[in-house]
Amino acid sequence: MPESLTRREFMKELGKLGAVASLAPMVVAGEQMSDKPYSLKRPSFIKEVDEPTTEIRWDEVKRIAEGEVTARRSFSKYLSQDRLDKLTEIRTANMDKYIKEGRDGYTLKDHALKSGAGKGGVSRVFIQDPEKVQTPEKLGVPNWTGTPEEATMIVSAALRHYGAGTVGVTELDTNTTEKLIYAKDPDGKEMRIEDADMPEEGEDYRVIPKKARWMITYTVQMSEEAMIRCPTHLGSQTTSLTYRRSQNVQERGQFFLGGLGYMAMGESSTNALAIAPAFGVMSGLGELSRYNRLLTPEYGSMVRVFKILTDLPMAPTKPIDAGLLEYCKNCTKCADHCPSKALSFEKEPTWETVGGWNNPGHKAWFEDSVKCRSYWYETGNNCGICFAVCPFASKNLASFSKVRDYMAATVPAFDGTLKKIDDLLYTPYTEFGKPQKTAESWWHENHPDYGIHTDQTVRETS
Amino acid sequence: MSVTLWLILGAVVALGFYFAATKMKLTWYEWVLAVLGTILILFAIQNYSASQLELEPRAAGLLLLIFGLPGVILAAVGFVLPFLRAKKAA
Ligand code: SF4
Ligand code: SF4
Repeated sequence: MPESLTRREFMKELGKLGAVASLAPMVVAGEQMSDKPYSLKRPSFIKEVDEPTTEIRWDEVKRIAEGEVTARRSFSKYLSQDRLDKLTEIRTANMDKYIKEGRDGYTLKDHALKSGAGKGGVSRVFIQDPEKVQTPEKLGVPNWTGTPEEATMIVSAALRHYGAGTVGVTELDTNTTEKLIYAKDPDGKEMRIEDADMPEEGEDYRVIPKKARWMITYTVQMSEEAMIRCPTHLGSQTTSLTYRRSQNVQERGQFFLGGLGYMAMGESSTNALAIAPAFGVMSGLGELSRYNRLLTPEYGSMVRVFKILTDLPMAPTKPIDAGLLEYCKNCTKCADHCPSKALSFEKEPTWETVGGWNNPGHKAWFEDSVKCRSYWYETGNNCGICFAVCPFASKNLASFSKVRDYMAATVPAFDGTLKKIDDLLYTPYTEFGKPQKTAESWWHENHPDYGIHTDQTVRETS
Repeated sequence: MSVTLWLILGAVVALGFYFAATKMKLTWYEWVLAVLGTILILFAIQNYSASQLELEPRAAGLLLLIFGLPGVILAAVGFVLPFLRAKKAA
């Protein structure tokens, strides 16, 4: 039998052995087989597809160490010490100058807001302390069982209740999606996928049991109204706040899955466990965009993406084609506005990567993470202009947004025109590299909780 | 825009069309123009009020203009032509 099996592979192998009939006594959720994928209720023009809109050559995809895929942790590898020192010097000087001169978005109150936004989330852990989890065993009842569709439904409901936006599920396949799990976590610990009973964590390793085949991927919404004030402290703080909120969603999700009687492996630190945008694409939460992150039909670019891995058998959600990647071919808005010119202007995505921080094996608009990251030193925060200027980063209350989404998904010939209309409506005077609105005006506006419009999301299930 | 305001707007539109159907003699193409114009006006109003809620006043004004102006022209032609005809005949 293959080293690591999907549910379908497992059944096929068992079938060969004539062992299917003997499964009856071990009926738990996963054994109530159904290949029916689970669907998020979305407008009909958002098509569920078998293959994602991003082309992938799975044989070229390798499990990689997290520290290598963005310049985030490996930044110093790509720069000389001199350059790094210079950048640090620039950041210190800029931050000192900006706060003292009361620059818009860098005033004391913006600074204080950012500092508060970075607080409040519980610490991330790979696995929760088993002593603390209220398992069915401790309650003297059997584990929760249900069909895979029911499992996806209740996990989605719970995670959304805890603060997630949309929820998707990927059933891991040894030769494809399993490779999207990092070979090493951000802290350098080796991520071993083994035939183990329970997940485990050691000094320099983490064990993922092979039977944990379901990667739950979820978005957490960012505030568009804050983000369009990027690149300032006020603009970037919604990112920090979203990460903190996701930490709570993860912990609650882990306790929920543990409470049902199943394992729940989370991100041990920011961006750990697996490649988030890749799982976002594979589970149909969105498509890969020109800024090389997940672009979603519900919130556009206004999301961050997170993962939890479980052995609770769940119905997978399929990749989607909402015309988003296609739209990016005719829209270079994020690249136009990027101050460091880190984003690609090519019409088509390419197989060729830009640097060692990119992960080969799929067609994308690969970014120059070193240019991007270097610019962050100038602004003293994580910039985010590319997220903010995207036409899909809208609140979707005006019905024009719905017409745009429909047209983008069905008539790609209009994509260029739609982008021009977006420029005219929302960013006609925005100087490249500057915030779309003053940070000061944000303080005077009346925003919803967390600055997000939760009614943009999908609620029903089908 | 609140549900109440939409209800009032709906009632006004319904009354307008009731009046047009009973008191004015619209040709088929005048009906087409009037209906199209009304749809565009309603679309413009929705986009205007929603964009204000989205804190995008510039987009609100532009959307009102882009869809509202042709809407008013179409609706005016649809409703005014039969009115002028009726006046001429009288
Ligand atoms: S975060 Fe800023 S510098 Fe980096 S790619 Fe986006 S726009 Fe460019
Ligand atoms: S700004 Fe345009 S090109 Fe960039 S991600 Fe958004 S739609 Fe795609």
